[in-house]
Amino acid sequence: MVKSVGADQDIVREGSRPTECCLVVEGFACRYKVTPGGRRQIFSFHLAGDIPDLQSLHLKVMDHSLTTLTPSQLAFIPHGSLANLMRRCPRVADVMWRDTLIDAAVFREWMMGIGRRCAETRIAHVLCEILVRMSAVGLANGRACELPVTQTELGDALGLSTVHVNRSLQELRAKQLISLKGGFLTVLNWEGLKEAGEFDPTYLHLDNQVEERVA
Amino acid sequence: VSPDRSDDPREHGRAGDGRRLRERLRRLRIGPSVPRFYFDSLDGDFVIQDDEGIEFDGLEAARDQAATALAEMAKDVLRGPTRRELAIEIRDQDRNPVLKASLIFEVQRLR
Repeated sequence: MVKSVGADQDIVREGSRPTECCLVVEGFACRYKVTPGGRRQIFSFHLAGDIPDLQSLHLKVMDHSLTTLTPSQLAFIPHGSLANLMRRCPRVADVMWRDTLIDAAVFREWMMGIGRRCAETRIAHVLCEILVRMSAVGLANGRACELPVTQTELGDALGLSTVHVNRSLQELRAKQLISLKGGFLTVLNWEGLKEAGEFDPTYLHLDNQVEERVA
Repeated sequence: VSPDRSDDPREHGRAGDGRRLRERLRRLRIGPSVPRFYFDSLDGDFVIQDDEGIEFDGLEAARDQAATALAEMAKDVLRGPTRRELAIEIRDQDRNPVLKASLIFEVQRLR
């Protein structure tokens, strides 16, 4: 059961009690929360193959929201079916557990960025992360991939103003590390971007071959 | 990264349906047009020119963003020298300068 959902549509809202988990089949999504003053923080970006709200299987009330960023194809898996599947196949249960652990590893890395890295490093880091993750699910073309996020969304994810994101992107461009055109990211110098972003993909716990594909 | 939409924080509220609708219209390019501003940043003589621009509802919103960005720039770059001037110059959609926000950082040894 796959549903087509437009851009910027909430999939699950904070405070709700979902009865199913959402698998991103196609498109781009993010998890976020908004301060009482209306400032949004994006916690993570999600692409095809992710189940961003897997935790709702065990944590009954959503403590954050999940939204699409682009028109997406989403599949919904009832909690009952997931629980059954995990009981019948312990291997699947292991994989799901591993997924939530990596999820937490990504949060740690983002916390490092927001707390301790300068704007340019944060941006370079998240671009490296997106490219490697896209590559892992076969959605990158060498060192190029779709980057369907606006500068405001990048700012909301990295705790930066849109102007500063814009400025830092110009800087990465000027250094000939990346090119951005029509929602498409091309990394011109992978080693340089990695260095600029202090990016070490260990926290993604991917196969070594994935990074070799972009390197 | 596509050139941008308004970053008015109020628009990210829980009842963000107005924002969503406007954003959707904008993506379809049928919404009301929003002025685009260009933000050049200056660090002493070092200039980063903005050729892409960002859309804001008006100069006030653009001004607030410039101020925030200036503070962020300061956080990233103010190490070392004893005097430094950081600035952001805003140009309008015809590329004419309309506003300059600057920050002067100075360190003096007192003995």
